[in-house]
Amino acid sequence: MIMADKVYIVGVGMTKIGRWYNRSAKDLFYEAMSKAIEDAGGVKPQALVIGNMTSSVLMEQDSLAALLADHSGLRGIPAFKVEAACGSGGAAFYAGYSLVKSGLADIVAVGGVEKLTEGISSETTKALAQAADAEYEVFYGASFTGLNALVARYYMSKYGYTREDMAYWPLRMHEYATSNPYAQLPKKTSLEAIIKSPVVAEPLHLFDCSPIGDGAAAVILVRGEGKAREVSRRIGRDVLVEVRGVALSTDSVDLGSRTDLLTLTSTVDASRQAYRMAGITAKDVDYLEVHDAFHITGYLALEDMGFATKGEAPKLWKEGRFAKGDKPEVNLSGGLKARGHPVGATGIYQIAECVLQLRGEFPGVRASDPTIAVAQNIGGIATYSAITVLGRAR
Amino acid sequence: MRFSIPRYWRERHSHYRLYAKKCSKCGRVNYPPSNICRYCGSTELEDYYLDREKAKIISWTIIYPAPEGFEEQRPRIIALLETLETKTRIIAPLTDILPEEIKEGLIVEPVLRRIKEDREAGLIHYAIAYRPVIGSIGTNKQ
Ligand SMILES: [Zn+2]
Repeated sequence: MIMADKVYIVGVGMTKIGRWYNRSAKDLFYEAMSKAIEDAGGVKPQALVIGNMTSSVLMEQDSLAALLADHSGLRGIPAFKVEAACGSGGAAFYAGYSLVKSGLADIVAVGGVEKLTEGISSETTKALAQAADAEYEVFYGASFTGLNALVARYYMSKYGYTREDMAYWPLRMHEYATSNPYAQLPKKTSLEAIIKSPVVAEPLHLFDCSPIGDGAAAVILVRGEGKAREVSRRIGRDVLVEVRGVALSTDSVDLGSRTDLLTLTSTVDASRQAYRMAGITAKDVDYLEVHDAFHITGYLALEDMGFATKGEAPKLWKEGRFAKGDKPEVNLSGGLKARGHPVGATGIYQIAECVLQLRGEFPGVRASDPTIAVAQNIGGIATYSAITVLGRAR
Repeated sequence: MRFSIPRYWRERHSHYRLYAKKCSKCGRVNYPPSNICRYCGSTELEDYYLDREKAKIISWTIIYPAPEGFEEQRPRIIALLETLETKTRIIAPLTDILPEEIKEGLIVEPVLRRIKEDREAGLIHYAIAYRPVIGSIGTNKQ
């Protein structure tokens, strides 16, 4: 009856995101993995899936999953890396879920790790640009921020938004991040500071974008309610977190060939599939972590996941929707914007945050007793979308 | 920076002429070129070169922190264009234009330009960039 068994997340661990010049990917991952194992009452993972984008380019390291397994006391177990640009974490979770759901392993760890501060900034910019099309975009000198800027300008022009209208996203993210101990930018900002921050790629300025940082996160999955309850009993926790829906969709890598520039089609597809698998609709979602690498991707996510009509998300946001106390509450972690965006680890941070919110244990701004939480992690400009639906059970 | 001679030789049709594939069934231009039409699934496609068309600006950005290899060309102007005849959308650099002259809908035309060079090998990359069609911007001031 393996296929009928449900899958649960029984452990989560994260590191504080930052420019960790004195810590390696191995160090960061060891910390996150150890915390996750401890959180899961000491269970030993039987397989490890790693989300990471840039180890090959910036760390000059392939064979990453085996390296991290070896340095976390897990030498010998099945381990592999999943790359889906900034969506690597969400895609790794999708792979890890299928390992445990299929019965290939009973206990699976899914981790994400990224080291973006190994070189000079033009190298990091180039490495991140590789999420885009090498021959048709990057060749011409387009940066990843530049491509998002093309989308942002078109959106702002079509729906009549100013830079100030868009700036309410980063403003709120910074406020939430002040109480998140894992956040890279735990400091408040102002509309004026956002507007006046240095330009990166017009119309995107520095404070409209997520920061460059290093981090690692890990979660532990088990199959079967019995196993999940056994772990809970061992550590005296009365809440179970079930994985109710997972989906992964893709779109073109290049922006030009898309029929609709302002719709994250893969997010539309993946969220529909994941909701269906979970037996829910957007109306049932209490808590949401979305991929706001730039304010524009945050707003598009809200629209494309069914929480706002196309063109209306910035207006609703400015009016106070999606804040603490609303339904859904969005990115109380501070989001990619202020919690930080260690690329391949981001999707795992989001899932770990959703788990902690469902348990009522998140160490920052806490959601209002949620029962359904959803994480949306994208790679490229939604060239990949991974959607994960989690539910609380007692 | 790393420089692959076979790769850039192979990609010369893309970069010098904006080589694409036009679908014989649905008529849409596939750019980047594809062996199977991404819009209708047909495998009947013929060669098509987008450098024969003018284009209009849909969106643009001015990039300041440049990726590796473009440090000397800051800021870099990249646009999303739509060709006038086949309505094909492409990402391309703009040239011969000032930031304040760029606007949505401006008509531009392709021109071959130096894009970057490999400092060690001395090889120069050329590719299509777009410049304003003469007469589309600017006024004679007294
Ligand atoms: Zn066709």
